Amino acid sequence: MSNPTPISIGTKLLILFSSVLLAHSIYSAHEHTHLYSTRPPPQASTSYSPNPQHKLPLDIILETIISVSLLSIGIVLSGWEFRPIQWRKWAGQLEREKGQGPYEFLESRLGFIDIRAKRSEFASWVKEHEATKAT
Amino acid sequence: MDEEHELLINPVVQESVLHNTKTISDLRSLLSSLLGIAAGTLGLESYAGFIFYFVMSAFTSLLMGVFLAGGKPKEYFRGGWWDLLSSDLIGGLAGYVLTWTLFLGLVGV
Repeated sequence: MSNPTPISIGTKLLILFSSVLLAHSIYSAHEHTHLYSTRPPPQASTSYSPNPQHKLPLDIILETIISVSLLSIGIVLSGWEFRPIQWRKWAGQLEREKGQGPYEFLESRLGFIDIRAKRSEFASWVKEHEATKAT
Repeated sequence: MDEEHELLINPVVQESVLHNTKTISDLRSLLSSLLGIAAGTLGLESYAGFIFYFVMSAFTSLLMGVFLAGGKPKEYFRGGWWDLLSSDLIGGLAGYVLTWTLFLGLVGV
C-alpha cells in the first residue's frame, strides 16, 4: 500500500470516534441479546415464536449503521489515491510534481543545451574550488 | 476498430490502471470485513445480509468515486462508475461472510 498523502488530524479523529462508536454499539447489541436470553419470556404459552431472538432496539441499529458509515468515510480518506489512466493527464501530473515526465528525453537533447549557463556554472565551480584550495 | 482508434488518440497508462485496480481491491476487502461486523451486530440472516452487503458496497463505491476520484471516475477507470461499483465485488464477499458469521455468533446468539 502506498501512502503518498499524509493522513490529516480530522480523519484520524473521525476513525477514532467511529471505532469507539462501533465498539459501543457491538457491546450494546451483545448485552441486549444476552439480557433477553436470560430473562424468562413473558407469557410463554400465549404465542409461539420460532425465532427466540428479539429485535434490536432502533437506537442500536442506527448507531451501528452510522458508525460503520463514518468509519468507511475515514478509511477511504486515509491516504489512498488513484492515478489518472489517460496518458496526457498522467504525463502532465508527473511533469508538475516530479519535474520530469515520459518526454524528458525530448527536452534534454544536445541541441537544447544552454551552453552559456553550463559555462558560467563551471566557472563558478572552478572559482569556488580554488577558493577552498587557497584557504 | 473503433476502440483501436480511440486507444491511439487517447493512450492508456497500463501501470496506472493496475495501481487503481489494486487500490480498489485493497479498499474493498478492508471495507467489506468492516461491513461484515455491522451485519453480524445487527443480526441479519440469509438474504437480508447479502442485500446489506450489496447496498453498503454501493455506498462505499460512491465514497471512493466522490473522495478519491473527485466525482470523475472516467479519468481513473476505463468503465467509469460501473467499474467502480462492480470491481472486486465477489472478492470482497468472502471477507464479508467471514466477519459476518463471526460477529453473528459472538453477538447475536
